[in-house]
Amino acid sequence: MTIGIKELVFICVALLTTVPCLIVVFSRNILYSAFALFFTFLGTSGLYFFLDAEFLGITQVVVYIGGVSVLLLFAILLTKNINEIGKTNMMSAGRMALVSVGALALLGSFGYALSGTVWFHKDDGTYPATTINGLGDLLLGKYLLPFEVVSLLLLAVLVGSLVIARRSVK
Amino acid sequence: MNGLVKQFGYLIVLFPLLGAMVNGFFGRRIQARFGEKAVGYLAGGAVLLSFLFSIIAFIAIADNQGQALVNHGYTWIEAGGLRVDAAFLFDPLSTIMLLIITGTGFLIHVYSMAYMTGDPGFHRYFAYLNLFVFSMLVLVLGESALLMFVGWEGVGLCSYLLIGFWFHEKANVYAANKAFIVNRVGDFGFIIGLFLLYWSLSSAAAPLAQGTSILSFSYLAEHVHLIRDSSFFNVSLVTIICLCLFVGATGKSAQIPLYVWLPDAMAGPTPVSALIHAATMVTAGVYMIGRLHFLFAMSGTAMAVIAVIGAATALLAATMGCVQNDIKKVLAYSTVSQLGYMFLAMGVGAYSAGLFHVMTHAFFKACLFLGAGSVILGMHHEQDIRKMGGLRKYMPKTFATFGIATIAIMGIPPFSGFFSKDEILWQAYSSEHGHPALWSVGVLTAGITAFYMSRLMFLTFFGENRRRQAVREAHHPEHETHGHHDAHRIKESPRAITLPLQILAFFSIIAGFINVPAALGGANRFAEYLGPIFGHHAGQVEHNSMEYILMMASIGAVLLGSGLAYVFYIKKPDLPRILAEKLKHPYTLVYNKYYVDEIYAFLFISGTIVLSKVLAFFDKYAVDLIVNLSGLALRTQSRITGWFDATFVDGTVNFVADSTLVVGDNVRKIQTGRVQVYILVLVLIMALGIAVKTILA
Amino acid sequence: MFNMELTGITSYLIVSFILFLAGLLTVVSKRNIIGIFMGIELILNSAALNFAAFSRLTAHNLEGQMVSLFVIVLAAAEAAIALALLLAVYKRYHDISADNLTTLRL
Repeated sequence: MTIGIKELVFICVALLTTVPCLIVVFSRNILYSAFALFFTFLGTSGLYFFLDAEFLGITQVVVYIGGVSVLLLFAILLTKNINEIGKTNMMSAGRMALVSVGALALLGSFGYALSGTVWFHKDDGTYPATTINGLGDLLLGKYLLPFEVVSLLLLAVLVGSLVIARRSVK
Repeated sequence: MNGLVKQFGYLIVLFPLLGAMVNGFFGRRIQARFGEKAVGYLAGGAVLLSFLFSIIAFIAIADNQGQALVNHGYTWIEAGGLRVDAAFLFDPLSTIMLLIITGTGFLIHVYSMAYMTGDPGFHRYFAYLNLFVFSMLVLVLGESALLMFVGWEGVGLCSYLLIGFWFHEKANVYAANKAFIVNRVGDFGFIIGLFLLYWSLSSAAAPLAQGTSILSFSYLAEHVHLIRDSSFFNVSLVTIICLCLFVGATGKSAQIPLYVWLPDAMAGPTPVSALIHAATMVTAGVYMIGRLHFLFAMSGTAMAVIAVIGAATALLAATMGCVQNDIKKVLAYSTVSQLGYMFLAMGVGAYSAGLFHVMTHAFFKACLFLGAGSVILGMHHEQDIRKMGGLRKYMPKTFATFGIATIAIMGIPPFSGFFSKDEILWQAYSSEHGHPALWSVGVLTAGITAFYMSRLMFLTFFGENRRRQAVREAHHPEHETHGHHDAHRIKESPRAITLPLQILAFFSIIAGFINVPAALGGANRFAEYLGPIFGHHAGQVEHNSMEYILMMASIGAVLLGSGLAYVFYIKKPDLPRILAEKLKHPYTLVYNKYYVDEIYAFLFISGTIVLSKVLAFFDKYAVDLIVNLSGLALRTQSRITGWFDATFVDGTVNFVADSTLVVGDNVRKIQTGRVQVYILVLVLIMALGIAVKTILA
Repeated sequence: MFNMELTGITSYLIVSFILFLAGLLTVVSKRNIIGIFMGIELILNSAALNFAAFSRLTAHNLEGQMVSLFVIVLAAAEAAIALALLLAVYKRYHDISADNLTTLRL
């Protein structure tokens, strides 16, 4: 294992992803969790960049950090209990214990499986330098139907969330 | 004629039965539609028809030189070796009885039509009366001892029904019960006798006897000699049989010790007393001995017992009759006494004499009873002779007939009673079974009979009417000849009553002449007629002067008794009262009938009552205890089974249901409604699966 | 193991798996609904990362990234709806603790 600059940066980004993620899990304060989530998204975006998926990385930042996280914060704002903010994100110890057992088992299995797997490498794959052209081609070519369906879905979500969250008519 | 009798003889028995059934089932309706007369004519007509047919039978037998004629009916019982035919035997003995029964029966039916008018049970009375005549006819006509016993029981039943005819009075019911029960005691002895007879005869005549009707009289007459020598615990079997049969006779014919029912039986209507307890039923015992005379003749002991008891009963009853104050009771004791004479006759072997006395007694005793009924009617149902008197002025016809019958019973010639009683007394003295002691008892009884019958006559018909005297003295000096004395007016009874009285009185006078003894120049026609049965005076003693002396002695005793009564009740009416006070204890003893009823009550009835109480106690505490215990056991067992069922069986079922519920409840807890828990479970199972797969792979 | 490339597929898989497990833990054990929602976002994120990693390092084409794109879009849509629902629930019950919102149970 050669540890060059690339690898170092990668390790930092990976840590940026995983450590806030753990904070999300174990923090009792919901604002802390929310902000940690924010950093997780950021780290993920960095990882996307490492994978030469620039469009995906930007989309991640825009959508997740600019959209979902903000939405999350708004929700916390609207429903939080200011007096006891330190106790807003309690977790159930029993369930945590149980699922930890399960998680460890999964981890063990995953590790075991991973160590013995020889990954398939497609040799003749062309990976373009910039992905956006290719994504555009795919989006309006092979994945046209999903694209249209997703747009319909977004429309429905738009209307639906308005309807669900509106003030009840007196 | 013989053929007629053989073919149609049963009609004599059938007519009264039909009359009984019609009156029994339809009497109420007939009475309502056609009146009392129709019921009476129906009943009386049935008996009249029987009487006419009896005459035909009598003539047939007389023509037949006394040979028996049998009207075969059908085979009644055929079981194992026992065979009994339902057949009717016509012979001189039974035809004589037939005439007596149907003749007096018819007269009494006519009398009853007048005596019982207005009674609410009018049709019932005639149904019972006809039923009685039917039973009595079966008794005398039965060809087999068992058929005779059927009639025997039947007359007992009818006696019970008729004594207790006015059953709304408790006293009448008790009297009827007493009659029936005492009769039953006698019948028990009778049946034992029949059993022994059958048993011994069938084993003695064994191989030949299978299938034949052993108890028929013809068979018995022929074969009874076979058991002459059998003995039972060293006592002659024949004697035992005869004594057992005689016990039955004492019950039915009111001899010592079973006579106690007859005086009480006066609770029934007077015509009933006349028919049943004077003329017919009570003579059944005498008839039975006559029928089975060949059997009795084989046992000297039995004959002696019969004679002694007959004589003793005659004397005892006569003494009791002297102090009775009820007109019917006097006559009842007189009947018991006269029956004693008849048994005395049978006991000394004078069968035809006994039966002759049966006939004459039927006439004058029926006349006396019916006359008493007339008196009771005239005195407006007063029966105490102390309250009567001077009735000869008011009821002349009754007085005349009563007087004739009294003279007959006392035995004054030439009335019938003299001939029959005298024949008995002569035979008692001179027959080979007889004894002078028996004769003397008989003569003494005759004297006492004369005394009490004269007493009855004098107190009832002579002197002043004591009730009118009492009434007059009570109402003196106010209204003597007032209108309401009409209620106490005494007048003669209607013709339906006096006509039978006159007919019976007539026969009381002339009936004696058919059996005038040879000593007085007669031909003994009655005895001759019965000769084919009893033998023509076998061992007839020659007439010697003894007979005349004895005749004079008996007449003398009668006149003495009668004269004594005259003195006591006409000349010096205070004498009886003074004597009674002087001889207080003997008087009380006799007046209370020697306390025989009380002794019986103490000896037998109290014992029976104690026994029944003991048995009731046993039943209540032992039998009921067992029953209750078994009931308790059953309940306990069922409770245990129920507990078992509730606990185990139901428990199993409930357990299944409950466990389903429990499992369901617990499994339901998996659905918490919390998605997180669902995801948790999902993760765990997935982890488990993957782990297992990884390990295994 | 130590002679694998650090930037090889294995690392990305490990990271995405850690993200996934964290998300799972959060979903299962958090009481706050928003906390649970964060867990869901983490899980979706890990899936998208996985797809992208495989598309670049193993399949050498863009199809995996396509999927990641769709995942992102769908995650956003789902976030909108979920939080709208949350607001509605909050208005009704004034409580966003998952342990108290149990009307789904029998």
